[in-house]
Amino acid sequence: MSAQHTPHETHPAPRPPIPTWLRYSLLAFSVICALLLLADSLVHRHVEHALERWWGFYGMFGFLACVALVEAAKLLRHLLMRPRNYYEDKD
Amino acid sequence: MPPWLCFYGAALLLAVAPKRLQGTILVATPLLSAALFLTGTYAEGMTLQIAGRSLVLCQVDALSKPFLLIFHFAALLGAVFALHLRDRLQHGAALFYIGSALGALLAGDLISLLLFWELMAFSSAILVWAGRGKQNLRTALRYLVLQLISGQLLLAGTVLLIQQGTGTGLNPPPPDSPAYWLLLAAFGLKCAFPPTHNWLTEAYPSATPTGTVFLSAFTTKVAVYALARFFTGEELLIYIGALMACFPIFYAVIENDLRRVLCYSMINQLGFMVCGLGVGTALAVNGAVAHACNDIVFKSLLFMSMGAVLHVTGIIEGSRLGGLYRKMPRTAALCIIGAASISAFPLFSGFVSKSLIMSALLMEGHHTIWLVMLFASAGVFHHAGIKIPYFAFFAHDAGLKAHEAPRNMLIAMTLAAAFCILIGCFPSLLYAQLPHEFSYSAYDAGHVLAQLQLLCFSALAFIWLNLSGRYPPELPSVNLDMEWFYRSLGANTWRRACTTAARMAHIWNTRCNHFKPLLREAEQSLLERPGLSQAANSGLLVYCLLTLLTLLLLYGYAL
Repeated sequence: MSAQHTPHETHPAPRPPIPTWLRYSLLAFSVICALLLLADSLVHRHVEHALERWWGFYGMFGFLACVALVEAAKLLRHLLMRPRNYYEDKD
Repeated sequence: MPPWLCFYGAALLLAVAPKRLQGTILVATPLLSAALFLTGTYAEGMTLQIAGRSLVLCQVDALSKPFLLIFHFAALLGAVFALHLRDRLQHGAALFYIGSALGALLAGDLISLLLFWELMAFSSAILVWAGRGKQNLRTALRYLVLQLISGQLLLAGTVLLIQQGTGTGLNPPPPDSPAYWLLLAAFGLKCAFPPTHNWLTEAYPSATPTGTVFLSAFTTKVAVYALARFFTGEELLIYIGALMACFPIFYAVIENDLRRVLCYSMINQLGFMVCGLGVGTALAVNGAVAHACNDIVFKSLLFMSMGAVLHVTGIIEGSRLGGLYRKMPRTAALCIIGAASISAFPLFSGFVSKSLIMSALLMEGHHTIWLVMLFASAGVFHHAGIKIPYFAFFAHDAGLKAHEAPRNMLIAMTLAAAFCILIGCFPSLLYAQLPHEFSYSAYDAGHVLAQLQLLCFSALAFIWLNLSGRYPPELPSVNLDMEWFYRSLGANTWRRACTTAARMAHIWNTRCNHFKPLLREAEQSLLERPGLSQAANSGLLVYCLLTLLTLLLLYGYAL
């Protein structure tokens, strides 16, 4: 890759501390997630696929899928990212 | 009067009407046309005799009816959203474009479909160009080239069908005939099948805030309708659909232009529809049609909210936006409703249609594809459900000067949001309009719990990634996609070819004084020849395609 293709990485600003209200909201959201997992044992679900029988399958799938998606997208960025005016220079 | 004629008439009227009446015409047209359609006074079975062929220009059946209804609603949303604008060209092009899209739905034979298909391409290209910048022109011409290629494929397929004596009725072409693949390619190109999808991700984000709302609603959904009409049950569509649902979400995560993120998420949603059509059972086709109807509205809502942000701040890059919820609280709330709908949250519209496709996949035993689509469902929540509202309205406060969106924009967004919630809460309203009779309950405890788990844990993943600093920051950049082949590789090759030709001309020129003036001119023009992606060359390509189109058309009639 030639030098002109190197993306201009900018470092994000330092993270501000998390406000208290947000901390509590996140805690509440985590509790909701935990309750949803618990509900899995209580609600009888009509299943079509063997995987659906696993306890908390959808929750775990959602979490892992998103982490995998973001990590893969970050790797893709190394390959695909170009400066903002990449095409404009060529036009 | 057929609905398309209503819109064409209004477009002509708009060209001569005084400025203050433009808004009235824009909003009254979809209302009038919808009234005509709902009361059944729309000239059903209208035909036109041309060159010994009869073109069926207005024919409604169970498949086209839901599309027709939702197209009218989308037209109304777009019209109200654009009400503040005084731009004869943009409004006229929009009305003409909607008319053509309706015409394509109403066409009762392939030649009429082709006619409206091409008119749709031209009128939408004007909408892409409506920003009137140099860059808009280039983008619009590149867009038009691809749309015209789709038209030519359709024309070539039609000509072959006539030659085979199959006729031009709206029946699926004989499988494995060249016409079959030509038609599939024509519809696929318009439906943004990879690797041809970049016309969508390039053109829509460069259109005006109001133009994108119109553009997002019609072209791709007409293609979905055409696929449903001709290729229901084609197994290949399942795999294409799965690919479409999956690959754009990676791009959406790292894309900075938020309207482009929506374009990638649009391809992702089209993937669900295409997959449903590939499965081909009554449940799956209903799912695909229902999802197309819902997608038109929630995607319009999301494009409208981003359009409102762009209109107010002049910025659409995630890296420069943030913290707007204080200044645009209503737009933020409406955007979140759109985000919840596209993510298929229970009680929002996406849930009641996506479930149909997912259930159909499981019932027909496509388990691997079902897992892939589940991944895509989690992904769409991640980028369209969370990323769009988060980076535009929350995240860090970018300190932008902003105010709430204009009233007409808020009304349009509210109408769309109301539709999303209404259909989400009362899915039977939508189910009653679908082409096949069926019974399905989206709201059983199992479905709801599964979806809530999937979405809440996806959100948890986003929170965790964000707090731990693992989430990739929004960076001002472009990401290479298939367009690189024609915007970079093609342009460079063309430029090199021109330089070489110029050099050769120069050598020849120095040796042969006789042709000197002529060759110097040629050399000069080759050196000045812009890259492939420049307006002049794209324009040339458009002319070539048009000529080819005319020749094919003449050939078709000569048969």
